[in-house]
Formats: sequence, C-alpha cells, structure tokens
Amino acid sequence: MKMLSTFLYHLRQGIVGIFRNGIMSITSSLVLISCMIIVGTFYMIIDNIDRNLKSIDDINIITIYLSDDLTDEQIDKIEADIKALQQELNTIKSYQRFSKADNLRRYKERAGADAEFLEQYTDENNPLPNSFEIRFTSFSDPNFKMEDIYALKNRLDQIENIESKDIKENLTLYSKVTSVNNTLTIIAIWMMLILLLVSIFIIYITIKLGMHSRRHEITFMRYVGATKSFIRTPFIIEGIIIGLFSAGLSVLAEYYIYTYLIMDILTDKALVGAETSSLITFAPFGDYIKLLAIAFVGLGLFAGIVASSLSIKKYLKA
Amino acid sequence: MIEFKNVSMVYENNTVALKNINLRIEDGEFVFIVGHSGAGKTTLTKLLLREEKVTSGKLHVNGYNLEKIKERKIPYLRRTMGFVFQDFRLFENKTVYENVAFAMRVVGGSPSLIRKRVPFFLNVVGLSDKYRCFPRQLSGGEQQRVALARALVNNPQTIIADEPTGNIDPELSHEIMELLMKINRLGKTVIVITHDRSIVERYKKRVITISDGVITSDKIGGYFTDEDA
Ligand SMILES: Nc1ncnc2c1ncn2[C@@H]1O[C@H](COP(=O)(O)OP(=O)(O)OP(=O)(O)O)[C@@H](O)[C@H]1O
Ligand SMILES: [Mg+2]
Repeated sequence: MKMLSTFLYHLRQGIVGIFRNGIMSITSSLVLISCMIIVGTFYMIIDNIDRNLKSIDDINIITIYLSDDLTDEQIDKIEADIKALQQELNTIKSYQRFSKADNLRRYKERAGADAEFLEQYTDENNPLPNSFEIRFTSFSDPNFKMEDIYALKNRLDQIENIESKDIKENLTLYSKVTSVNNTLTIIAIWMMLILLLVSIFIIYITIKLGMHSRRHEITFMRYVGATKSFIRTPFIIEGIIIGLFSAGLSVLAEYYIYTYLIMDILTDKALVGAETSSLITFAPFGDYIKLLAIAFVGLGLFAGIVASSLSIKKYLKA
Repeated sequence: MIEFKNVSMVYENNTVALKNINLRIEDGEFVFIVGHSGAGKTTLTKLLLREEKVTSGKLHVNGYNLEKIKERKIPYLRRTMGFVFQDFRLFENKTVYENVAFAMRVVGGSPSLIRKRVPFFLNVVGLSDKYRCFPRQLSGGEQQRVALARALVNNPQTIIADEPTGNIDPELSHEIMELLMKINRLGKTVIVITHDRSIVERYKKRVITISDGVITSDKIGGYFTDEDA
C-alpha cells in the first residue's frame, strides 16, 4: 500500500516535472525520436538490401566455362579435381557439369519468347561451351566468409585446363553491395551516437532546469530527512517518461515511414522503373516491429536514465 | 540526547567557528543558546544536522554517532529533529495544509497518516481554521506557527528553533515561546537559539552562552552577556 502510494506520488511528480518545462521536454523528445528513427530506418533499409541480395538465386555460384579444345578425358580430369576439392574444402556445397548441349537447352528454356532466334543453333553449330557450376556456402550461412570464396576461386584456377578468365562469379556484386551496406551501417551508428549524445545532453539540461526551479524544495527535503532516492526518483521518472514516450512515437512513425514512404517510393514503377521495382521485395513491417520496439525502448530508457542520473549527481550531496 | 565532547569546527576557509565545545542536552530538556552574531550558534545546529562535519571531537545526536554515521543513514538522523528558522521557509505556492503535509510526504508518510496527523498538529499550533490559506495571507507569527506544525509533524525527538522570534512582533513572540514550552511539556527536547534578552529572562530555563566559538557559561536563568562571561 505504502509502496504503491509512494510510487504514485513519484509518478505524479515526474509528470508534473515534464509539464513544468514543457518546451524543453518536447525538444528532448524530438531529438531522441530523430535518433531512433534514423537508426530504425537505416536498419530496415540495410536489412532489406541484404535480404534481397541473399535471395538472388545464382549469387552463390561460380561458373567455369571450358575451352572447346578440351577432350572428354580432360574434362573428366577437371571434374575429378573439383570433386577432390569439394572433399578438401567445405566451401563447395555441390557442383554440376553441363555439356554444350545442356547449356544450349537451358539457354533456350530461359529465353522463352526470344527462343526463335536460337532455333538456328543445333548441336552441330552449338556456340556455347561446356561448363561447371559450383555452388558454394550460402551468404546467409553464418559460416560464410568472403576470403574462403576467394581461396576457393584460387584453387579452381590452379586446376589444369581452367583459365582464370573463364571463372565467372557474382562476388563483386555481392561485395560491392555489402560494402555499401557496411558504409551505411557505419554512418547509421555514428549518427545514432551523435544524436544519442545530443539527446542525453538536452534531457540533462531539461531535468537540471527542473531541479533548479525546485532547489528550495530539495534543500528542504534534505533538511527534513528525505532519502536521496526519494529526492531523485521523480527526476529519474521524468527521464524515463521522456524516453518511453519517444520510443512509442518512434515505432509509430517508423510504421508510416516504412510502409508509406520507403515501400511505396521504392516500388513505385514510375519512379525507379519497372525492372527495379520487380526486383526489390520488401519484408513486411511486422518483421521489424518487435526488434524496433525493444531497441527503441532500450535506447529511450538508456538516454533517460543516464541523463537524469547525471543531472542529479552534483545536486545531491548529503 | 545530544552530547558534544571536545568538539571543534573549522570551515574550509579556515574560519574557526567552534572551539572545544563540551555540552550535554538530555531528552526532554529546554535550552536557550545565546551569543553575539557570528558566535557559532548556527554552526552548532549544522553539526547536529550533519550538514557540516566536526573537525575534531565526538558528537552523539539522538542515538547516532556522527563520527561514524553512514551517508545513507543521515536522512534518518535528520528525522529525529524538527527545524524552525527565523525566516519561516514556507513554500509560498503551497497552502498551510500542503506545507505541513509536504514534510510528511517527503519522508514517505502515507496519505492516510498525513490526513490524520496534519490537522492534529495544525490544531496544536492553533491554526485549524487557516489550513487553506497561503503563507502570504498570514501574519509572521502565524507563519512561524505553521513552521512549527511542520517541524512537529514527523514526530521528532528534538525541536531546534534558530531565532524563531527574530521576524515577529514582540507581542506575538510570546505566543511562539508559549507554544515551544507546550511542545517541551509533551516530552520533546527544545533548543532555542535567540538574541532576545527579554525572552530568555522571562523563562527560567537553561541558558548556554557562546562567544567566539567557545561556551562561556551554562546556567539556569538569566541572559549572560559577553561582559559577564
Ligand atoms: N559556510 C561558511 N563558511 C565559512 N565560514 C562560515 C560559514 N558559515 C559561517 N561561517 C563563519 O563561522 C562563524 C560562526 O557563524 P555562525 O553562522 O555559526 O554564527 P551565528 O552565531 O549563528 O551568528 P548569527 O547570530 O548572526 O546567526 C562566523 O565567523 C561565520 O562567518
Ligand atoms: Mg545564526
């Protein structure tokens, strides 16, 4: 009973504190909200790019084209070497051998409507080479390491009758996009840190002002024998309320930003062109809401508690 | 019980405020502390509150050894004392009732206990009918009575009044003193710091005289001037 009434008292004091310095409280919240929204938006964009990249079918495949000069025996030898490599390295998940005829057939299947122009090619005048397709560790596999794939590529290159120029892969696409993502991540982290510091600073000032306007009460409370925690709690609660309020608004804002801004704009055919829009698929906002809520509440509590604790510290000698 | 043993107090700027004070005040006593301005009277109360630390010597207050007291115990030490100041120190934006209730609230008093005790102590100081007034609507004497009710409301063992009549008309000063006597009869230790010679002479109580940080006399009755010392 007593604890509840004390808690309600502190809560009321905290809320009164927020309104006492309304403009400052709103400013604190706005900065904190921009911090959260930037982090959240960056995160969702980066994650979507990543998901799209990993969902490209042939991205974890190395294709080796063979010269037409090679005999079947030589190709058998290459296959044996690849098989040995597969046993040695765990980066090769599977491999497949395609003859010139296989490739022509696959090409025709894929071409669909354009197949007519391919009609002139038959097994006799087949322009396509023999090939191997080597499927390596998936990018989404936690064990995936770019170095491993480059190492694999090197080993393939060393196999007799395989020429470097005939080894094709999408690693550069992958590493380019990944490095863009990494850069975005770094930018996001720095922006978050800076905005977080600014938020903490502004909440700190807000609460400090509140304490200043209540300094006579605080002095009196110390004289009568109020405990430090009793004096401190309303200010901490003030910080927590600012933090939680910002977190709540940020999640809501992210919903609109994500579903109406990002998804609509990036899938707007007129804007980015039909090809791009059909290539990008977006994860539903529901995939992110839990993580965002947890992260924002965490950020909000952190900023609120750190800022309010700092502002009280100097004020509260015994 | 309050006991100073060889207590000296030097402020950070090297002002020697108290020198080798030996003093014992039993529970339920009524004492006046007198002395010229700057003698060290307020410093004495700051030591009791543990707002300042003794520089040397031993000090025991209401069961606490102030030499060894832990910081988190200081609030509980302070709850054994109720303070009244010359300038009342009421909150202008709070009513009489709220001023008294606030003192209880901030030491964790429950709302139901507050509702019982505040009217009781307002009644003790004779201000039951003024509970909704703001301090500016009251006379100096009435404001000091509110301050007294506020000092009493947490049921401390000791009431310490630093110049309680300093800002009050002489006729009304008497009322405040009578109230302090009444509080003393309730069993509380009362310590009154004052410059007012007529008050000290009127009540034949223990009078401790401090001069330049030293106790120069400790007797029953009368006002001892510096010349007497
Ligand atoms: N915070 C302080 N820092 C340094 N010196 C102080 C401080 N407070 C008081 N003093 C000095 O200590 C001495 C005692 O001061 P104190 O306030 O105890 O006197 P007092 O007897 O209460 O005087 P008054 O009757 O004017 O209230 C004085 O010389 C004063 O200047
Ligand atoms: Mg003084």
